[in-house]
Amino acid sequence: MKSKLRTVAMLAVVLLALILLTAVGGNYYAHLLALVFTNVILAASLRLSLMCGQLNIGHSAFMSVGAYTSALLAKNLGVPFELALLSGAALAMIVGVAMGYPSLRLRGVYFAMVTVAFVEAIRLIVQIWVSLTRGMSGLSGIPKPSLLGMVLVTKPDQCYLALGLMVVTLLILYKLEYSRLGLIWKSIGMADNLALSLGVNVAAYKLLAFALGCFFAGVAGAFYAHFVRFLFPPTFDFLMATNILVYNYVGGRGHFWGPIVGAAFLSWLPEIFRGSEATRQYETIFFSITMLLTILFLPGGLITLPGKLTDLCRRRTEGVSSPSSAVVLPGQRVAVHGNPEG
Amino acid sequence: MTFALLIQSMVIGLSLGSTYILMALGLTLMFGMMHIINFAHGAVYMLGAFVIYYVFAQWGAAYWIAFFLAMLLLGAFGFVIERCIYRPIKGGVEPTLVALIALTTFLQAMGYPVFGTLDKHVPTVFHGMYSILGVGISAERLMIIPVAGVLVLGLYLFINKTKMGAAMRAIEQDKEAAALQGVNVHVVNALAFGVGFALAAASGALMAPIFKLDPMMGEQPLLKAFIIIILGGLGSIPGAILGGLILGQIDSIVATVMGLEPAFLLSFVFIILLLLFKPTGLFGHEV
Amino acid sequence: MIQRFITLLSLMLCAVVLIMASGVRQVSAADNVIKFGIATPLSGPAAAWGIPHKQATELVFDEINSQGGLEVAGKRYKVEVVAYDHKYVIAEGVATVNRLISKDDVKYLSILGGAVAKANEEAVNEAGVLALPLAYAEGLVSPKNPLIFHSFPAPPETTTFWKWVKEHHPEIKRLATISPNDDTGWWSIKVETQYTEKLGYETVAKEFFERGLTDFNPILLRMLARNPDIISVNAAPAGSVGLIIKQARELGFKGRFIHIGQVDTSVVAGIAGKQNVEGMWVHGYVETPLPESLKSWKERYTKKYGEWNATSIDFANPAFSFIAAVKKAQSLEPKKIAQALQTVEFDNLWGKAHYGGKDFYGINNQIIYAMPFSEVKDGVATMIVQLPPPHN
Repeated sequence: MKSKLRTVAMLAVVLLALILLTAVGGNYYAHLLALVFTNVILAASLRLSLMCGQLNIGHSAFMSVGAYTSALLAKNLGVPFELALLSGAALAMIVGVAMGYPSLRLRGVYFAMVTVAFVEAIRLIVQIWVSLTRGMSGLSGIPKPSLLGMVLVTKPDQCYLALGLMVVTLLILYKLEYSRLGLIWKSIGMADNLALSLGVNVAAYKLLAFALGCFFAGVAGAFYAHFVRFLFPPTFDFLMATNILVYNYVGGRGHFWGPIVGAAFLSWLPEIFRGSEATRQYETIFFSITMLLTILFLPGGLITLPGKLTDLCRRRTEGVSSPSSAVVLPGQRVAVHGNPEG
Repeated sequence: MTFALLIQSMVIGLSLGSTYILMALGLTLMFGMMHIINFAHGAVYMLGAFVIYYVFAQWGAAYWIAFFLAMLLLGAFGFVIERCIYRPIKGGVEPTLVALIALTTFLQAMGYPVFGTLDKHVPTVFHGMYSILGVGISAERLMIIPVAGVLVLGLYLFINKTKMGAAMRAIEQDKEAAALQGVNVHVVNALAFGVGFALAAASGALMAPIFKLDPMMGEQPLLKAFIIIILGGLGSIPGAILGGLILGQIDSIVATVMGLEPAFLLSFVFIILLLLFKPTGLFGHEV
Repeated sequence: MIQRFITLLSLMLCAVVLIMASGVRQVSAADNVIKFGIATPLSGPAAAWGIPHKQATELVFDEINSQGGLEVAGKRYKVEVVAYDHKYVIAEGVATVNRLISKDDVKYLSILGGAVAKANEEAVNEAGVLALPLAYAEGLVSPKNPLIFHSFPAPPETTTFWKWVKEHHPEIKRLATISPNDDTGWWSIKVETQYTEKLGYETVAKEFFERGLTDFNPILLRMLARNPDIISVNAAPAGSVGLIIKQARELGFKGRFIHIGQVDTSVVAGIAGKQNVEGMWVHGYVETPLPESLKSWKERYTKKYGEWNATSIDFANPAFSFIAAVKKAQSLEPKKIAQALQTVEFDNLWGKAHYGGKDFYGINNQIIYAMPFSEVKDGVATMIVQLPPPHN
């Protein structure tokens, strides 16, 4: 129980820090942070599919559905923001189910390919349906977000909204992951044939994970639409989908916090390169090098960094590489590798 | 749409299809043998074309020498990537994916300062125009068919008739069993990378005089190659050929009738439908 | 437990490092520096426009600075460029402009890219900064954007060349257009077709292609079935134009090509083949005869950057406009500079220029000057006429 309290305390500190940052940073950092929070929602929601072992490169399609739906409802029909956002997310989920259901039989790279096809298909539909979405001209004039009728005019206000959405999303996703549902998903991800043989309705659970992922992608999309307030179909493309996937892998595939760390790190990285005069021109180059180095030295993701550091520390302090090769002197305590709590 | 136009459209479709098949070759090997989605395929294609630019167009060497040099250099690059990126990651599918994406981004971004910002061109190697069923097709486009044919044949013989190819097929079926049989997995992996990269470079080198050169030129070929590989089925060369021909026809006929956007939409809808009914593509098998 | 602690510690440490590295602390600007912001694609396919945009602006400002800087109300200022790469991605486009306005405290900027400029329209208006974009976008120049001054001739200006074509080549009657599938392309085609149809031309085909397409045969087949006399490749970049021309000739098209946007015909000729480009008409690109001012610019540009890029000629317009307007306004306030911009006359590399267009746009915020038009003869873009736009 004590460790749980400690965890909550640590999280509260982090949250407070984020709020302070928004308040202090001014418009620009509020803008950046809001986008970081959006990316965290995207990355964390994609994790649901990845837990089930589905290589999903289609997340941006559903972000697009959420974005355009919410934007059009608010702009053309005057629907209030909260409702528009929920409708966008709901439609994203429905489209997700419609596209996901028939795709359940697909495995591995074939499933990945079909998700890529989703992204392109949705992008092209949005582009062709000019009368609704204004196609390649771009959809502008999207109203700012509002809560209970109060418009969130300033960037910091909108950033707080993003923070709130992110916290709520993460809470829900955390609860899901550490519930029985999460356990089933993980078992499917590890050995779905085995799960099937044990009577688990693999298809239904996969679809649920996929659909929920799409819902939150829609949430992220809707926020994005009312925040950036300009929608351009090629924004939601294969590149963005792979980025969301990369957030998960660079952050760490094996842990709930993986996508969050990955999204935060990779969203913020271009800023660092933008900050220095010397690196500004070669932003993309430095970014890709950093990504490459990260994955080379931490293939399990950034989340494994603390583990590796503690291993390094332990090795230094004890000077032995494995218990079996240690010569135990009388009175010396032998270290047990693998902390049950870690 | 008149009948004459339809025929002409089909001829164009064949021309398109042959370019797609060429683009897909390097990807088939890596995809089929190592189950790696080589995201760097487009970047290597681009580098192959630029080797032609520098060695053939700028330096003045003979075209075929530049062509083989491109394959050699980028094959070697493939070995390097296997050793320095694939092996250290211990072959995890996803980290490799990310690494290849990072590599592609890096190579493409480097292209602008290194190669310059203006689009480049390479002089035509095979001159002449032929009229096929009323459509003007240039000699250099027709040349794709024999060259692609040679490469496909070479690939087929390599995979099915050589010891190395057998080793690759063994590893693809069961890595541990193959290793137990004495197959040096590392060497075979390196070879797969090398050959895969070399083939990507070859297609870039052949396409260079036909189209234009710029650092992002590999993007489209990458996408088309993926589509064909999936259409045709994992690791199947006949599947890739058929997939390429089908995609070429769709891209041509539908585009001529309805315009490009509907054509692309249709091709993606086609893929989705195909995969739903035949989950492993036309000739593929379960992974 | 210690692992958790280390996790949190490293997270916080990372966060602090990241934030410090990106410079949250406001670095106070030097007192005598004017910062001019540029949000442009410096990487990716549009870098061919973004890089000359940045470099041309820097060259102009360098020369001003070497002569002692800009004098405003008795004080001398250095003009500096703060440039960010938006890679032609909308989110980055919004972020970079945001950074320029909110963090770097920039009051004047130049954005490249129609979609990016549109995405930032409101931000620019709300912040009250002066914008000198290089962007074809419908509705960008309008009375609701008093601080946005478009610094490049747009289709409503350049279509005037068609009058010249009609007078000198009455045998051309059927027109087909092909352009990129985006707002820039759509607007360009819309304006051009309106103008040409008024002149009596028949539009027999209108095609749009996705950027990145390299094989145009399918849509060219469709287009050529309608027997056009001339193909307009408006708004298409040099690489695509080169491929379009090459493939159209292979399919048997014998007519002319025309590009009233602006394109580097040397690149086009390289890709398409010199003989295929013969007779092509283009706006804004001249290889010969080069006026003295241009020869000198070419020398200075190549000397500083090592590679010549003819796009830099027109992309220097924002810099020239800005300098001239600040000199006239003798103020650093965007509103005052904007007022000056609407009345000042200055020199750009093609001659005398000013901002006008009220008759067409409703506000004098479009750059107006006698635009050069060339015909490609033996692979070389040869200037044939300089024409002012139909509205002043």
